[in-house]
Amino acid sequence: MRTVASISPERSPISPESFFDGVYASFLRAERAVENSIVRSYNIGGHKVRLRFAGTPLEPVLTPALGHLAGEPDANPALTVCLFDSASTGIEPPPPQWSEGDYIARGEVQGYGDARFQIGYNVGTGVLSLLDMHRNLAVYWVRDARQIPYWETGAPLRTLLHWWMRGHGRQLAHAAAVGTEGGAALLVGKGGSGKSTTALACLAAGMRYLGDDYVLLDTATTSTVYSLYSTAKLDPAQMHCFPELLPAVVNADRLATEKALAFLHPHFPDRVARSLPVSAVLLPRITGGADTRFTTASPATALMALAPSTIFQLAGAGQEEFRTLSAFVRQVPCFALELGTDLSQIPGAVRGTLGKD
Amino acid sequence: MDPQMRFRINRPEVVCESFDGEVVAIHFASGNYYSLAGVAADILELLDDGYTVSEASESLARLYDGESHDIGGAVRNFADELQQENLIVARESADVARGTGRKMSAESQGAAEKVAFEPPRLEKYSDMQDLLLLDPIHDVDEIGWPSVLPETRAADQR
Repeated sequence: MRTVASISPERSPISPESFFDGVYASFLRAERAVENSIVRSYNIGGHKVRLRFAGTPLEPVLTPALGHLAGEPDANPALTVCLFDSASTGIEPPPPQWSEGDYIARGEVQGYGDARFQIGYNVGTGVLSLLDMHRNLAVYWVRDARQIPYWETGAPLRTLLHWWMRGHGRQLAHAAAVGTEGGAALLVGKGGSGKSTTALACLAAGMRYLGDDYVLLDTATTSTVYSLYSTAKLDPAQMHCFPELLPAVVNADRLATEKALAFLHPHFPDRVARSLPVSAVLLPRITGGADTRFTTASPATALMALAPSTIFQLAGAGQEEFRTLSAFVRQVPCFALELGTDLSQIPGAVRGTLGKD
Repeated sequence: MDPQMRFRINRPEVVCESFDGEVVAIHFASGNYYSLAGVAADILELLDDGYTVSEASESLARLYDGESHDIGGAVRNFADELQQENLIVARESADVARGTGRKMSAESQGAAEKVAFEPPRLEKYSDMQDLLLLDPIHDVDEIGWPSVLPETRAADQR
């Protein structure tokens, strides 16, 4: 491993604006360098988003999770994301304008970027994310599409969408959501608390599914949850509990090292919902007992389950997100959901919380 | 702990939200988060309002049923714990206006008689700290971009 700093002492870093422009210019060169470019349009959180791919390798890796949100092309999307890789296009972005010690947690780059230009590099995924809030223009770069880990495929563009959406009335939240036509339950808690199990048990029972890990919350006026990814991610040891999911699993050959990753929209198109009003916040907890039941929980307890796991995953999240999530849990009734081993009881318990106030 | 010291919540490193007698706090740098209920929430909010440790003790002694000496000792110890957790920091100036009108948890309960004083407890949670660990061992390409070798990647992310 080399540990060289990318910025030598005699070279000053260029401004975030110049760096953004340099990476964007690289994207344009990449787009010209390849024979086939792809444009995809989506309705994400009620906003029209255009993904513009230079070449073809990234599109099949990054778009399956968003398939349920595909929309008609729009000449004036609210956000445009330009995506390219160097392996297939032969085009490199400018070098990093920071030192190796500036990579910090959550995919952030310490001390680089400003209110207009948000810039992050996630060492774990190898994804460079840049957003110009003024032009509603973003760039996504990876060295090689084949190196993108499965969890990025399951929840693509998370950093860019978090940055842009928070300025447009939507808060990305670490939560699952399921419901009925009348309303949804937001399932909050850290990994392993039972969010996915609950969401998939409800899906299997015919309920509407909006996500098992990340969703968007309307923070402007109403308590609405928007689906972000039609992904299900499940411990392979639990797959036998959900046999109807097997055809949707896309990494069945890698379950020794990966969680099972399934894209639900093609297999359950009528059950994946784009948005629903939030009727309840549920805090699932695996008890080991047989039965599932729910009890009232305080908004403070719900915030404890929702805010830390959301904020500590999202680049740049802080006070604003904490207050937004706090305001959200104050608006809807909260319940502790004690999950039993009899999964067939879970949908009924979740339905029981909807409409209670 | 000097009982005449004044503190404030360590903003912006710490954010708090108060819910009818319960406070949720996050310390961003450490990744720890906290729950303070009842008298623990009262103490934090009194201190943030500009009360000295001594003044906070006196206020609580009027509201809660307990020996003043015991209440004073518990408040000092708790303020010390809050300071050690970097949830509060000493105020730079002693000239602060005390907040008024805060409804404390004992009042919220609406009891005609004093509520028994229970020693304050700081519930601390550190289970999110792994999300703030520095990025994993990585290689750096010839241009300067780091990447994690597939075999060194964690089996999963949260």
